[in-house]
Amino acid sequence: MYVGSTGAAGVMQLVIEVLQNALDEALAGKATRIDVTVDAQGRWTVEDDGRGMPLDMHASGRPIPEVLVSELHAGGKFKEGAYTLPGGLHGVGLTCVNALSAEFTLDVRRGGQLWSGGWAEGRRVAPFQRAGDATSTGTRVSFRPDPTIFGAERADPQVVERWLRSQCWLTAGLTCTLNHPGGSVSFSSDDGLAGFARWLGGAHELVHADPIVTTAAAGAADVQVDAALLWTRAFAEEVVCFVNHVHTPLGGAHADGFRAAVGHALTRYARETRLLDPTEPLDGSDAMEGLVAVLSVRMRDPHFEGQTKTRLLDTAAGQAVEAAVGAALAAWLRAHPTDAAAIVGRAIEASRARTASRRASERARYERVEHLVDKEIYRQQFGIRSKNWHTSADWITNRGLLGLHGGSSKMSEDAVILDVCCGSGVVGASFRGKVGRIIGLDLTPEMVALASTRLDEVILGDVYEIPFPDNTFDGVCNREVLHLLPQPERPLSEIFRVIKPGGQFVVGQWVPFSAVDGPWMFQVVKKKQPLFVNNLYDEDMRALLDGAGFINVTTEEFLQWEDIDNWIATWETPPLHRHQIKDLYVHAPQEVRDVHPFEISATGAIRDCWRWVIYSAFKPG
Amino acid sequence: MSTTSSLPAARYVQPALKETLTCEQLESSFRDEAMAATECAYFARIAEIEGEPEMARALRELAEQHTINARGSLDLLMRAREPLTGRPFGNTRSNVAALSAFYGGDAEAQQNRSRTARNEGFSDISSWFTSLSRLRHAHSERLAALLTKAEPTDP
Repeated sequence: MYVGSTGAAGVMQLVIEVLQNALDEALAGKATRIDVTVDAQGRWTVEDDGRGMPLDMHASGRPIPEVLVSELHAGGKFKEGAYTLPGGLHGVGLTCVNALSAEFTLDVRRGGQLWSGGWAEGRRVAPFQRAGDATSTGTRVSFRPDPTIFGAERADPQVVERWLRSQCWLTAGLTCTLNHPGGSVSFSSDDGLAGFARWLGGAHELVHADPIVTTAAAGAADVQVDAALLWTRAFAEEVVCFVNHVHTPLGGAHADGFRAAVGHALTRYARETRLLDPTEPLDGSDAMEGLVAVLSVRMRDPHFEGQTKTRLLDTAAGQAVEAAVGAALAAWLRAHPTDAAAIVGRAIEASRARTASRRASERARYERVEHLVDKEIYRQQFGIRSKNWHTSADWITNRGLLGLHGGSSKMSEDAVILDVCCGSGVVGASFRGKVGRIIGLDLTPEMVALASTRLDEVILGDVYEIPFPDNTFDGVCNREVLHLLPQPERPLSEIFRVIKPGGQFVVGQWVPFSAVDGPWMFQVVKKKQPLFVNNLYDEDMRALLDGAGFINVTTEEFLQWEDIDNWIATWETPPLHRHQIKDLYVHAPQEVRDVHPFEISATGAIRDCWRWVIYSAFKPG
Repeated sequence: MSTTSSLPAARYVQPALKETLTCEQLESSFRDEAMAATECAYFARIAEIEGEPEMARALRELAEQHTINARGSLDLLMRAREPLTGRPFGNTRSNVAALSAFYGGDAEAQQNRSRTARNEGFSDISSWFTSLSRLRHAHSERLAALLTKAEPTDP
């Protein structure tokens, strides 16, 4: 399968293929507009104002455009000299789109003539022939992906919007328009990659005001390298890479060369200027923290891993990028000492935070079972995370998930409940209107302050030693905490102790889908959260509740899609781990993919489906 | 005149490999090569992320070499026993049977490791071993089901 998937990613690849053909006209300096329309039925139409495909006759006796859309490796761009640096699927693009479409039409305006033809499931239904006169030039491709191949899967207009937006920054003088059922949007840019980097920086606080822009032809392979770099105060890095305007979400040689250039340039500058102690380490990944960047490489005959061009293989391109970006960045740092000090300071800060995070993980374990957890580590982490708690992950404020917690209540309207490890208090607040009074308990002063805006009363305290007498509450609620607590039996026995006989305990926890995705998920979560100690399966949760003395356990399940890129953009996750988490998704074993749904979009963004189980249990009356 | 040699054909007789020190050392070599292959490939990716592409390339090439070497040791071990279980192996049925037996036995071993880690205060490592134990069970069942399905049925 040349498009890589029969899911939404495959449909997106079809759209990108047609767009890439239009873009090639713009890159050749022959088109200034690309207009894209998608209708409610999922039909995509892409129109450019380029020269229009050549209407000459092919050696087979048919018009060239007809051959282009119905025969593999017949692309006109593969005739010597037609395009200097083409994108697309090596001459199979339009043929693939046609073969995988329920309907496909092609209109070409060239030399004062309009020619049209139609296909269905790759078979010609209307011959490609002259249909009238034309006063302009250009090519228009319209297609509806075949539902017998792709089912109801659709390409996401937002991803297409990002593609068009990107190409306008990469291509001077290009205007793109996207019309979709939700509205219409148009893009053009006169500030190139600098504008792209500013857009990637978004609302983040910036370390320096203006992007660092480099442009150079480098290396024996005659590679043109353009880049824009902008450091922010965010935790995650975002480097968007292109080869001949094709986005390479998995990076490759050019991305590796870029990382090397940035790491080496910052380390060298830091040591030269004595900002960094000679014995203090500074990893390349520290230098990249908070960096948003665009890297565009143009080269002849690039080699990719896979037909969909997700990863560049050419080592020479990597060396060219490393040389070009390294030299330009080193010169920029020397010429801008104030900004350079801020950027290097940011990297040193990242390095020290990484070391602190690793030490936190080491200190969080018991040396012996009777020792208590180092509570200060929890306070520190959640104190920092409280600053953007509600935007740091989707699950925290997901209404459906919260609704299942409050909705599990079997307590009376005057019941008093305790929200244990309450965080910002959203779980306790989901019981509002169902019980009489909601009290919160949390270890972190910052979280206590947050929860105080939602709950009736919030106490600073520890779940291992709940500061209330036996049989105090009609119920207790809690969510996604037990996996962070060594010896979870102990907090559970404390919870059991403070619930009145007959009282209810409601606890939500994500769990693996099966034994097969358990170790994979362990690695994902452990790399994100160093305090993670219990990979709790459904059977573990039931055994814990049973062991604590709870009875009448019932459950509700909830599937929630989490934005992984956002979830891992957090203080406690070091840059190396963010990359490794993405690798775990990209290279997930097929066995895992079969049981655990997740999506990687054409831009490389990852969404994971988490299996939540909400347990309701009772203390015997 | 005949040119055929009157000497008998050379015969090279080796002792049985099983239960020899050489067999044990071959198993050790296999383990080392397999471990080194995993480490090199993993470290190569870390080198890429840390912006060290030359070291990454070298490590990837070493990983390829270790993988080939591990397979070389495994080929020689086919004369004796499968190193994880001590069972005979070589063709697909016997290979799968050996792995199925390994997974079944290792599920219990991982559970024991989990208990040790927990007793020594390493909650996360204990949980990791438990997760592996469950996966071993699942893999053992998967391969056992395949073997059952592949059994020839009586007419």
